[in-house]
Amino acid sequence: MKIIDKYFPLISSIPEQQKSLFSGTRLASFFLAFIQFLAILYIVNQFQFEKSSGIIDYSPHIIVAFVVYNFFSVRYRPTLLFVFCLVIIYSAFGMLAGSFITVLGLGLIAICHLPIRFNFRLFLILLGTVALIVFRTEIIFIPWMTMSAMYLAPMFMFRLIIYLYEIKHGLLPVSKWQSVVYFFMFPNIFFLFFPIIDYKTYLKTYHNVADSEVWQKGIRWMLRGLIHVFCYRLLCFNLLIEPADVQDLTTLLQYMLVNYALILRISGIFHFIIGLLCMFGFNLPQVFDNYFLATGFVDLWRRINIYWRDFILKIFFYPIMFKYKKRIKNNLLPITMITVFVITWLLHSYQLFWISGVVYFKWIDVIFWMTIGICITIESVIVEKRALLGKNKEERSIIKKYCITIFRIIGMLVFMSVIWSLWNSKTIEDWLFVVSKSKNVSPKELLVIGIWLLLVVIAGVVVQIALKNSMVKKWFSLKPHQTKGLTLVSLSVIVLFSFKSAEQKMPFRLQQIIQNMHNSSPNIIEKRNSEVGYYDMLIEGDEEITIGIGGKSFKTLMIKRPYINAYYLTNDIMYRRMKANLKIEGIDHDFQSNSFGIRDKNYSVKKPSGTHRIALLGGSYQMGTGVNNDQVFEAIVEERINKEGIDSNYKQVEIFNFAAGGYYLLQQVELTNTSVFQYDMNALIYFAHTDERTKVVHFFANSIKRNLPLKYPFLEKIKAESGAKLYMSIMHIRELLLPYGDEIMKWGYKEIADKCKANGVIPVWAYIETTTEFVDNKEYSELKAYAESLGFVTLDLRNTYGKIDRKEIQISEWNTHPNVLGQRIIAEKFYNELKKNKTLIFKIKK
Amino acid sequence: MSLELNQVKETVKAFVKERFLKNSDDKELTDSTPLISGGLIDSILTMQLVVFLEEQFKFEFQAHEVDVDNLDSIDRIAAFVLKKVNG
Repeated sequence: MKIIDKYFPLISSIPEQQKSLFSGTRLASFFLAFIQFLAILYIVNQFQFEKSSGIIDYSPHIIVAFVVYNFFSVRYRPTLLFVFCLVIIYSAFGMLAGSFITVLGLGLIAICHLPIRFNFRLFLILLGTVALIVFRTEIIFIPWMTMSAMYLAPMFMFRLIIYLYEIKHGLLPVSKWQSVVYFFMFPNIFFLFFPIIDYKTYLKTYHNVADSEVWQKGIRWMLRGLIHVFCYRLLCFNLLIEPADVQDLTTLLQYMLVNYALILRISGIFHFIIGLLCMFGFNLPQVFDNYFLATGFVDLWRRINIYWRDFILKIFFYPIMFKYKKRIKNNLLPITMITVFVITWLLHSYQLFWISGVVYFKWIDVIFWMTIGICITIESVIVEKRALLGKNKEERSIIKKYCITIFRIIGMLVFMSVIWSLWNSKTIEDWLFVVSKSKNVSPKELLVIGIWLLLVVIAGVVVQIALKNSMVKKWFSLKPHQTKGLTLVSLSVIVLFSFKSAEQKMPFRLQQIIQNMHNSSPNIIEKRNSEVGYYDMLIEGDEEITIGIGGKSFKTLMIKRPYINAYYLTNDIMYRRMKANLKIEGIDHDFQSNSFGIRDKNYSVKKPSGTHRIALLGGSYQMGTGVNNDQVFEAIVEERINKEGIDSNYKQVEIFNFAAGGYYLLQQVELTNTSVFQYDMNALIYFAHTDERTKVVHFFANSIKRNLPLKYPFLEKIKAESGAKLYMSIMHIRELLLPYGDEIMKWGYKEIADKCKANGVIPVWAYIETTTEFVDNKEYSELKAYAESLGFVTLDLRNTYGKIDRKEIQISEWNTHPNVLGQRIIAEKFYNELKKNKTLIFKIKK
Repeated sequence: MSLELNQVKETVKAFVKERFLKNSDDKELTDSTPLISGGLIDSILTMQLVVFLEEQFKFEFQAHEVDVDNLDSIDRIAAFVLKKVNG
């Protein structure tokens, strides 16, 4: 055998016609696919498709790789794909982490082929896994190793199981390069949440049809993926409502159905991934099969994440059935199905662990998977018995059959929406509270729902009749390479939508739709509620860690949760306080606290003579989440005042930054009463934000739910009057407290004002909107008037950000706290307001 | 037991038609009709097929042999059965 055949074997599944790379037909097909692929990547860029994944940043690399790859000799293509994957790995992660990922990954593959007993190989892989767990959970924190574990795990966590299974049953890889590329698939670097590609399927479908066919399939699927994501965005910005907005049956149905429809994002990403792989010769099967049209639980299981289903069947279902088929004569199927769904639940937690680094256990997950599992099991048993008994289906008219099908589809949609809303709820009590709103239903509402149902049924019957038409059937059976025109037209329309000049000529409503399609920001509602569902965590991460290599330098990829150890919990209204004398290295900034336990430089307890001291009370914005200590606006202003001077009464100014993440009015009251005045303050500045009342109420509700001692008789009184009880869901408690929002606000402001007066301190009230919200002038006027009536000096920091694009001043897509630029802009405005009011604020203390 | 290909195909075809396609609108079944990949039979019905083949032709499946390569069409089933029975 020649050396070249030994190390680069010719992959036998490739049809003869593949071998002529420069034929006229192939070149023409390639040119068309190239233009279409450029259009797809252009759309990805213009519409900011999964920006944090890095797919936009690496689009040029992908298109170059596509060209080079498809004109390389077929025997070298797997090698080339591996090299391309390494280029991305090293470019994103640097030499050290890149080498760690590569060497460890290749090492794991090599262990699978060691000439030792299979069980010993398994043991070695488990050892490697334990090492990765240690780094992933930050038990041993070496930033680049923790990060490497996070990106390595999605490549191996499931595919290694399948690979070992195939090796155990005698399937040997044709080419070592194909084995390597099976794990080192470059789209997996962008998308950590990845379909579980079966190894046998991967081998069989690699270049098994003409390139032109698989390219068109790839383009179509990437396009389908993009359209799914656009639909997801349209739903988010137009129809998605918060659980707190559910008031009756109609809004409940809207909340649940739209939430379930958000699965479009996952199917969009998966379609895109498989489409991208198709462009490199992987003629992989579809991942989702119109899951919204499932007519039953077994049908849903067949349609939703087909790769996952096949993985479960191969690795667990059939082996369990075979192992116990002689021992368990009765009920083998239900026992196996339930076991398989317990495993499904565990594997979902396993997947979430590797990507997020945290082990979650929620009863909601158990309930979700067991409910699905039990429903599928019951239907499976019925199907099995029907087949065994050879029961004939009852003869029905065509229209009756179609109506039943539509009702079954609607039934499944409603059921899945209900169970999906449970899965994405924070707690079971919250979900039950939302569901309880369904009892608020009027006859008119029922009539409207009934009419809509009827219309859907009629439309469904018409569609089914149409689908039986031979021409329609033929059209739907055509493959992507047979309907290139449709793909071209669709791509052209979307590309047209991306041009501002074209958008401006469209009707206003269409313009709004296009703007929603452009909007890549995480759902506003999700951010506000922090109700990050399972799949959101897999795709986006959370506030402290944003998953993805997009737009990040190597340093920012290194993971550390800077704030997790910055606080200690207290069993009082404060809930938590900052630790003193901290020095933490964060993701791309440092965090330090002084000996007083505030995020600031050290000051003496006794105020130096000629010094004006200001206590600043606020939340995470004022604390400076995401920036260094000296980049926080308070520190910038303090330095500027002391350099330029602001008032001749004082030689220097010290601003004590008492702000901390998650601090609201009730905590500011407690700080004012217990901590602030021991340092001989001259003034106290309280920072208010937009939607102040709601935030205060939410915190108060959390305090009740956490069973914290409320300390203040006023708060106890409000709690008693509202009827809020510990056992209630947090949403219910919030709803009961909301009518008291105004009263609580006024009490808090008065507490602070009175304490300031008693200590001869000037109270100052400052108002600033967050980077995601816009000023509510009515709220501002009301709060300002009340503050002034209590003697506060008021500072107006509204519209601080001006016309600047908010994304420019946010830390990231998911973390919208002001970045360094944002903090500087706030500092400028804050300084000007202080200067404007200096005669009031910098008065000599009596 | 010496089996012939056509014999196996006819037996399997009759079983599949009777058990799985009785209530189907589309009763046409050829030797190459994709059974699993075409969605005609799912994992539960596949197990019934496996049990039938084991009982009918007196051999035992291994779990990893239950896949589309061996069971996706009458042709493939017949080839697999012959391989198992005739060694």
